[in-house]
Amino acid sequence: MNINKSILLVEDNPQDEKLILRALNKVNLANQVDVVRDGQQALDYLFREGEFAAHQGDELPAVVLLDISLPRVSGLDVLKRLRNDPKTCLQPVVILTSSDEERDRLKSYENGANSFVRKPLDFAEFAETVARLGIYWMAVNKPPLE
Amino acid sequence: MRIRTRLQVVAAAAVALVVTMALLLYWSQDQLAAATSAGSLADEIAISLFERSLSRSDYLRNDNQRARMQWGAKQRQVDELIKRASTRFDPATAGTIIDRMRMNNTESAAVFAQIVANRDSAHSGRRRPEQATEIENQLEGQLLLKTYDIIADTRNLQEAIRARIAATQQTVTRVSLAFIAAVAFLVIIASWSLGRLVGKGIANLQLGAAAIGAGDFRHVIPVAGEDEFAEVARAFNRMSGALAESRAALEEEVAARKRNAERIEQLNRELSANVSQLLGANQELDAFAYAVSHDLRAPLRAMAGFSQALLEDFADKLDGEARDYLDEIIIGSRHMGQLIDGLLTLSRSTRGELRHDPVDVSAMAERIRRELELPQPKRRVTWHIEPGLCATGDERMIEIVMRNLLDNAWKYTAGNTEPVIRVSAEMEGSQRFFCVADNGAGFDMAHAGKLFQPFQRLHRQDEFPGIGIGLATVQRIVHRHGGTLHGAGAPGKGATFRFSLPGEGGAAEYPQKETA
Repeated sequence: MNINKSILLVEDNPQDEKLILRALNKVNLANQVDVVRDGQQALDYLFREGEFAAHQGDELPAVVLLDISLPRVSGLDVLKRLRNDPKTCLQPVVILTSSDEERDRLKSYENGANSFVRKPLDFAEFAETVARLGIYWMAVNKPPLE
Repeated sequence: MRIRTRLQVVAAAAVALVVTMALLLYWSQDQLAAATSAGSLADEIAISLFERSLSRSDYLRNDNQRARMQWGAKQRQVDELIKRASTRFDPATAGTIIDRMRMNNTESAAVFAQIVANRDSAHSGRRRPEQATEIENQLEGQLLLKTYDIIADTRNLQEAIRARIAATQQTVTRVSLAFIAAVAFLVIIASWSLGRLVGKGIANLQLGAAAIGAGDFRHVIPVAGEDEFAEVARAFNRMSGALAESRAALEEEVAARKRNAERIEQLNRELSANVSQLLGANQELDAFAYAVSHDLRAPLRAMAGFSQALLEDFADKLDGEARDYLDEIIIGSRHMGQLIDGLLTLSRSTRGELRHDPVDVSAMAERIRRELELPQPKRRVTWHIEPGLCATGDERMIEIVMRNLLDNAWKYTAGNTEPVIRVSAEMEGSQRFFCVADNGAGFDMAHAGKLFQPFQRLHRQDEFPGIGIGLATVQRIVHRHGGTLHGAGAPGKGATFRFSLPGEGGAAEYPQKETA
């Protein structure tokens, strides 16, 4: 278990944010979640720039849960930026989106996403999916940089 | 005069010449023959005279009485010959000679008779031998002279013959030359005038043909006289007139066609514009449907999610009724989610490229059957799926069609004791139809018009749940493949849905506008 690791949730919808946090809370991962609400904030967080300049020395999160439709900078652009930079090119990224469009899925993988998860409509399923995600990426998966 | 006539005249002249020459030759031959025979007659006279002389000589020397007879015979012969000669010879040239010859011959006979009488006197003693001999010598001399005269005259006759032959030849030569000159003259004149005529005629025709060939259909070839060239010239003029007319007609038609083509092009432009507009409108509609259904999901998730959260986290603080209300909210959300999904599927069914792949419909049906049976293992349904059913089309979309139809069949036979679902194919005319039939609840054909309209249902929610978008989607997909969809049923007796998927040659696919 990566106790010191964090999860970065990039989600602009406040209700989805609440529901995701609640689900992660159920599996005791809520206090390790950092939330940013648009693409630019996500980049600033990951590159330790802008409002997050103070966090220079922090470790990168174990996983980034990234929505596609985000204000300012879109999820896919964030992904591209991450993959282009040597500091963050190995960062595990899970695209968590309500879109089930084939082209969104393909574009995500083409741009280097590690995983593509659709937000289920059914809430119970949604909560379970999020919980499983959290457990997998925090406990089961081994990140590139220990 | 026509050229042919001219040529005929020349030919006739040539023929006339030949004929005349032939006649002339014939005539001259004739003359020659006559002359020759006349000549031989003269020779015969000479020979007979010579023979008569022999007889005389024989008589006078030998006193041969027979010779005396022969002399007489010969003299008569000569007379006869001279008579014949008078018919053979031209009296003008030889008349005098022949008369002289006859006279001499007759006188010869008289002289001979005197000689004979003299001999007889000598023999009878009436005359002294010396006297008789002297008289005989005189008479013989006379006879000889006469004989020589006749012979000389025969030579004159030969001369006359030769002269005649010469004259004939001269005539022939002169006449021939005259004729040849005349005909040559005629031929030269005719050739020259004919040549000029033909030359001019051909020159005119050449000019005319060149002008017409160059496109000047109004050129008129001058028509002179009534000969063949005139006819040809007229024919050419008619031809050029006809050409001018047909060209005018062609130009008219070309202009008309050009106008038509322009009109068609204009119509095409308008059509393309309309098509673009329609395509644009369609794409916008689809994009709208997609965006709407997408954007509707998030708040739906919130509604359902927090209702569920309430139920879970505050179960102890809520009484039964409160929990029921929350359940209703959740059910409503779920229903709305299904509607959104249905809308999304409907909108997706007309987006994207329509593929044309071979699809194993039987295998697809079997797969869907298993997926339907798995969650409800207790349901016993009799399936008849015809093996080897193949279609050509978009597999993804055909899957939606089969899923919807089989889903419906499964759903609407829920109340049956002996449910039967059949998947088959049949030919209607030249078109192949796939059929999904069940013996379930069916529907009232009176409402068949609503069958394929979105959200129009023919059963109540408590009878059979559903949102009423399945068949609308099926119809859209089938139509996109260029096929037709028919539904038939009767309440309580089941329903049959038939659709066709024309392989190639379905509805023309318009290129989708690319959206990023």
